[in-house]
Amino acid sequence: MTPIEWLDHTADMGFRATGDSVEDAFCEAARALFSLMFAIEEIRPLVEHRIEVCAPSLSELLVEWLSELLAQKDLSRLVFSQFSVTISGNAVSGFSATGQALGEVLDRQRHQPGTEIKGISYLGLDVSCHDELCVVQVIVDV
Amino acid sequence: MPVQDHLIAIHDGEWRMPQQGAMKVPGAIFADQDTIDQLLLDETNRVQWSALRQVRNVAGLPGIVGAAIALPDIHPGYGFPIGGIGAFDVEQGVVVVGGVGFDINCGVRLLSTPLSRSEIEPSLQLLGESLFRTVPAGLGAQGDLRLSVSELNDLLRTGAEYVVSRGYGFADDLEFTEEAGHMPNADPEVVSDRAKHRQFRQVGTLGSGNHYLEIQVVERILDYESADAYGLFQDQIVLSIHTGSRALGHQIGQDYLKEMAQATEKYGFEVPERELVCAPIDSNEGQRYLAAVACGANCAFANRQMITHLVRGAMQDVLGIEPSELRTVYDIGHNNVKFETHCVDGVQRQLLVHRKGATRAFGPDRDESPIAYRAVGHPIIVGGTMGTASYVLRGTEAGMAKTFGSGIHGAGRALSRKKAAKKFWGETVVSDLLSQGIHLWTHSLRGVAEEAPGAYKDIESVVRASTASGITLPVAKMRPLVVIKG
Repeated sequence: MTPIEWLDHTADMGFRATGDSVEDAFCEAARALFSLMFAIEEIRPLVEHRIEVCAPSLSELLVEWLSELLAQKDLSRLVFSQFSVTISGNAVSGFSATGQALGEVLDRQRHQPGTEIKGISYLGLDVSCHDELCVVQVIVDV
Repeated sequence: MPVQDHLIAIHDGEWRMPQQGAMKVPGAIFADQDTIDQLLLDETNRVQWSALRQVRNVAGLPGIVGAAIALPDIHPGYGFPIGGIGAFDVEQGVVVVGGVGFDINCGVRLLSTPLSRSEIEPSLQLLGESLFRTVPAGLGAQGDLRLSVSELNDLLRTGAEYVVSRGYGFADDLEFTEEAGHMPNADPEVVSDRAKHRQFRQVGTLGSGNHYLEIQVVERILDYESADAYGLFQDQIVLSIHTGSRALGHQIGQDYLKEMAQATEKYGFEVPERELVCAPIDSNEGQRYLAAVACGANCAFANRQMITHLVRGAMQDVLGIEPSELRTVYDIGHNNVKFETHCVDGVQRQLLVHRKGATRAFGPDRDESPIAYRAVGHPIIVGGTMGTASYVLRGTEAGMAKTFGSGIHGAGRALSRKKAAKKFWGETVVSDLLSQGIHLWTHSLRGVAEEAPGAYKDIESVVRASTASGITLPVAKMRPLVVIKG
């Protein structure tokens, strides 16, 4: 199974990202997000950016994780291609993600901009983990 | 109960979804048979995102008045369908994040010139090059206007007015902008620092996706009286700017989807889709969101005003035309929520009207229209695809009665971006357009494939359906000559 499957949504873009763990799936989702916007293979892992987010559920944590990464494009002008994350918590106390993203300052010549992502939606949002296989689904607003 | 059993044709282009289940009002769908067939097929196939289901969901929100409405460019959105309208009682009703979306007050500004096609034909290449160089477009582009925190707050409070006060435009631009380019009740205090910081370098940028800047020719006048009022004539060169509130609006949308989810729970509302999170209009949460949306709307008005200034400069450089000769015909948004007065069952009521992928379309004799347009109603600007046509329409009394004075905003997508990117090749789209006399300048060939004309519904059928149902009337048809895409 390929880690990223692109979904059909009439107006916008969606993807399903798969990993061996929820952490892996979160990282694949981040790669999918930046693949929509840039030629991700051209983004060099030169700068490290730390991410810490929390949310009441895993699916909302995914929105926070991706929103935080997306915002850096405007806040620090950083774009990323490599990700790692540790997720902890439970359904009662909520979840947190601590991670790092590796990338560099946006270079419009080299990174070949694709389509701008306006936001991470909750439509069809899903995080499902069974038997060491985690699949997350996200629709982003274009 | 399957929807197809309950979608009733009222007359040409108008359908009714009777109230059922959790719906508090019926649904009213204005569309042609092909669109209805496609919507029903999506229901039958139980696709994950169905626009009809979204109409039904909106109809179930607290305090909704009249009907949950969808226009001929309907397609699935977030919470509301695109092309969706919901009007709410100011005391019993709610304000809904999904009724506005991420790109607050995304809209179109139409500029007229005194030039006819033959006068610019030899300069099209130069004009395209100059506009492409002058107007920042595409993912990661930055604007030249650098603002301090207090200046950005001023811009959020007063919108296009702030930009004009800095010398980037004329008082007439404001006269011919919806809300005079300045939504009242904007409070920058309720906009996060993150939203503001994301925006600092984005004032006066076009963005990407379906946003564009086009030089167009008025190909056909369909209503001479209204065209005359709007200053439009056959063969005239006009320019169209389609963009929104950029990162500031996007971040407000993201922030308030979270904040309003808490409000939804607090007030005990159950919503079938997360993007329908809402709060009572008169609650603290509802008022905060409305004040934030007004900031986003003002940011979009300011953005289109700044781009207007850049366009005027580029046109002056190439053609020597004075900036004041490029007149704002109208600037109108299609993702917004506003307080308006409407006649409902013979009673004048103040309502909160959400329009997601739909414009305001007020017919004659409304105080909200510029005085010069009041006899015919303000223009509705419908953005087509880069290979087909755009339209100027006007509102009607039937539209006021049936849609709370709302109009279509575009062709509406037919193919997903995934399918479009598979079916079309960016370079081929560019050369096909050139063979039709359309010069395309773009920062992203991938974006061009996704936005290929063939990925959209036929604009003619969308306009025809809107006309057939009587909610709007066509005034002028424009065809693109130069297209600038992000």
